[in-house]
Amino acid sequence: MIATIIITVIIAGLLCIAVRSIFRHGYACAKGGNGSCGGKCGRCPLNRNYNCKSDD
Amino acid sequence: MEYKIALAGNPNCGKTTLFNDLTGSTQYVGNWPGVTVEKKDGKLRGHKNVIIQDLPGIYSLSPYSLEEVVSRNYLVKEKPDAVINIVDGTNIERNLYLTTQLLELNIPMVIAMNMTDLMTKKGDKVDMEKLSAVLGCNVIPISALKGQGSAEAAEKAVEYAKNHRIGERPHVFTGSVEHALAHIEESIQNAAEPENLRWYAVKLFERDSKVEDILKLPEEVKSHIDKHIKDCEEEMDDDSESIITNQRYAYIGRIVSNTVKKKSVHGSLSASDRIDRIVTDKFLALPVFAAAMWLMYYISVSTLGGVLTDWVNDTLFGGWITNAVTNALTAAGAAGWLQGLIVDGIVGGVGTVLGFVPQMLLIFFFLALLEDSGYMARVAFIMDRIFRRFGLSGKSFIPMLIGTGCGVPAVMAARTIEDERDRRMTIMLCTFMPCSAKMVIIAMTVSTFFPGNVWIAPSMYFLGIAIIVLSGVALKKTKYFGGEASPFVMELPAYHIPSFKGVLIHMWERARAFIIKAGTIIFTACVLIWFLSNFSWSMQPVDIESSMLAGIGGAAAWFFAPLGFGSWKGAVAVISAEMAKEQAIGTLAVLNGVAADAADAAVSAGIAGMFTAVSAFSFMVLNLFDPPCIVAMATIRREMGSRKWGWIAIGYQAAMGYVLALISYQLGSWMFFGASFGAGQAAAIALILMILTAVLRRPSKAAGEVQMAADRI
Repeated sequence: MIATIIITVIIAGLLCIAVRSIFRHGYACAKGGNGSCGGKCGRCPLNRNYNCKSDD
Repeated sequence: MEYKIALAGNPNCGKTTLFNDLTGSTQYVGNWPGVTVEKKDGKLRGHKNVIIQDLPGIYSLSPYSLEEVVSRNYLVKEKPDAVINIVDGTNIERNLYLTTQLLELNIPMVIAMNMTDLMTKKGDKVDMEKLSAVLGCNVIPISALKGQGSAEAAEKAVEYAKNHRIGERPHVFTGSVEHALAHIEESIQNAAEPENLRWYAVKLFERDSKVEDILKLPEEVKSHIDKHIKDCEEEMDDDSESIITNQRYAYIGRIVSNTVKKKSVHGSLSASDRIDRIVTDKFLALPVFAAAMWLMYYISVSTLGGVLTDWVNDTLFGGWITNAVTNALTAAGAAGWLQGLIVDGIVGGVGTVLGFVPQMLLIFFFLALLEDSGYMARVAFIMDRIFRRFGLSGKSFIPMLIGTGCGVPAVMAARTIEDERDRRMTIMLCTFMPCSAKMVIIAMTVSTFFPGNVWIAPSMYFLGIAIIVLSGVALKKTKYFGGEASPFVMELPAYHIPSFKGVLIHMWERARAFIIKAGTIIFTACVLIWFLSNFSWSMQPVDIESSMLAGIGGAAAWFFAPLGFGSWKGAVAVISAEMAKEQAIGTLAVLNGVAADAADAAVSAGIAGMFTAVSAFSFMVLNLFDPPCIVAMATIRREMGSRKWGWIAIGYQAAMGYVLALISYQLGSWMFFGASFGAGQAAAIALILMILTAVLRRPSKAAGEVQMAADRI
């Protein structure tokens, strides 16, 4: 029971990190403009090689 | 205080290579012009307060395409503290044209003469000191690729930025032009910033409409300026823009003849020329390209890559990791449902996708070799010859080349296309090229349903090109895309042996993005798929066929039945692939509980039971040609600049994917698998006829008018 709880918490934590990463560094990059890291963080899970920030 | 140093220069002169060298970044470098389409920032190594900015390449400060506007606007309006002007030493004359314009901006500037190693190899010599004296700024020889001289150029630029040291402006123009420019500068003193007076004056002399709009000069000032320009034009019997261009080149010619000694190469062909004689030959070009791509897929997917992926899938994830995780969870006393989540959902789903990393690495390796060597630039040139016959531009092929890595930068690369109609059409079509995520679907289909077949994988690449050409031909005949294809002038870089480090960085960066995606989007999606496939709407653990996902997939399954996979699992796989294309395989793996069946020793065994060979082919075709992942779709919407055009593009892709999958399944099952001729086959033939009609019909009246207008221009 304890193992189940501990592992569940770990999986839930990893899931939260993954979802946060997707929204903060993934879709924000693709969306561009305000709120975008502009590719500077180097953590975009989709394509960190390209600066997705819109300059215009 | 923070200092900003911009890297400015012609396309493909080595700006991004220098940027990576100075900042320690690993930005994408390609051996063709137009790789960088947006400004990128990075901190100079050893200087926390110095930002290096990599700008898209420009031939002059008279921009034509969107990414060139980014560079010009930044240099003129935002003004960096210093500029490092990278000049390709193997093509000094053309590169110095931009230099003469940059010198008019009154920004401290250092010239980094790049590719000096190649110059030495060719036997060319430049008197750097003399050139520095003539241009009024330091000229430093560098080799960005080898990291030679880069730091020295950066240090000098930092020094100039701190001291705001601007050299004496060279005397580029003749007395009459200088006289007119002086009058123009005087006339616009109140309308422009003092440091930009010279630049604006030259632009007004050239009758640059964009600059005229910015300055909003009163009519009397405009007519006063116009009088001086006309006087010059009459005196020199030429239009003002040509006068400026000619005098710049005359000036460059003078300084090059005094400072550069070129080794005579009369009558002899360089190694690049000799290679180009074969690879760009009228008859050999296409067979050479086809052979290169076939070989790439043969090694990466069918032979070496297949063996490596089989081992990773069957032994590493299917055996070792699954067994180890199962044993560890059992020993820890974890609940059965939790074991199911981790083993079936996470290890099964994410592991299956990661299993294709070896094949990805090999493909990236070969693409990096082809790109860095300079061959892919030739391919764009070859494709232009073919595309142009169908009214398309070779410029559209550059985004398609980039699309073999990822659709997002491919869509953004369409910015290099000036014509708005061509740009929109390219955005709509470039994601038809199989990206790295789609490669997972191709690899899975080939290894499971067509083992030993060496033609299916490369044929998907060529099918992508064929569909792009056919779509282009059909779209060009509509009033929305009609007109002359954009002119395609591309400088072919000299061939060079790719650096081992560069190829490894290239591979690693792409593989890294792939692995990070597996750990974020694929991981999240697999957990979600597992949850929805194990619980009912009342949140009770149930059999998979009674789960929420079975209900959702079942509602959409009818739609995919004509494509040969009308099961709810197939429907869910297609829908989930819109999060990330490789998720189609991850979803199938989770739904089939592949990892739990380690005894089967084949990751794809569960999936194999879901499809026939022809329906698997149809599933692959649908996923290759339907809309790309949600991130690429968001990028399409953004780059289209309008919601309407975003939806048109996505709608077109959805229709194309469905139609091609339907034709593949219906005709494939009839012609090769003994199915009887029925309504599905009739529909497939009708669709082919419709496509042929769209391709072969005469252009619409409106498209023809656009064409005629373009011809007149």
